[in-house]
Amino acid sequence: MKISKVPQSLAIIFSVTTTSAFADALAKNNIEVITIAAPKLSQSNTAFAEGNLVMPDVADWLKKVPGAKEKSHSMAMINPNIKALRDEFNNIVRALSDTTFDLVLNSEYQWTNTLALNAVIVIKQRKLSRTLFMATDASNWGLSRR
Amino acid sequence: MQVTGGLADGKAYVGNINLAVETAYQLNAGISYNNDGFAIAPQMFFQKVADYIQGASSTDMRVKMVAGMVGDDNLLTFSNTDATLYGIITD
Repeated sequence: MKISKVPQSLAIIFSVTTTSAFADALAKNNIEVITIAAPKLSQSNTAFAEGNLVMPDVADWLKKVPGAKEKSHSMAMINPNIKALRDEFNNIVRALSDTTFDLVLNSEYQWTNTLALNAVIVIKQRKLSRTLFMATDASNWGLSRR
Repeated sequence: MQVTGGLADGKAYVGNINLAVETAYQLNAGISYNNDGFAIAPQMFFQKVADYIQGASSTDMRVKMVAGMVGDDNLLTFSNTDATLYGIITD
């Protein structure tokens, strides 16, 4: 069993910026397509390419790619329950995708020299976690902590 | 074996190989004010999340048995649920 996937995200950003009026700006919109390979974000309060977005989910924490090969000879495997969990993880069909899709539509209106308004519509996806199991004290179970 | 210390919240988490991809639909609106070195940017957000990934008590009997053996009787497992999140933040 081998996990060799590189996390990938596809971000499509539609950006609309206004300087005088919202309607005028709609005619000035631009579309940018960005492919980001292995963003490796440890945490995020923003989208991939736009600021001031609120992301109160915890899924960013789940982007860590787990170990590809689970130990089969450690002391922990004496425990049949741990072994069963390990076997389930190792034997599962690896037809899983690491690709996620982000769509960001951002509009900003500069009202005065000091005041700006903004509105953002976002569709974001987060991939699943394949982390299997946590022991309270990994060192006591012959487990490796990542 | 892959292990995780969880989300720095003192909880122990078990992964879920069958998790679905989380999809969030979000609206943001806000203003930003910047003048003479003073800046403030309050933002309102509303988010509907399909298959929101979060920790929940594990129902897997094997996990429960192992949890008891390692001294943690409430291992959490990552699971999908639907969620609505909203609020205001400011920079």
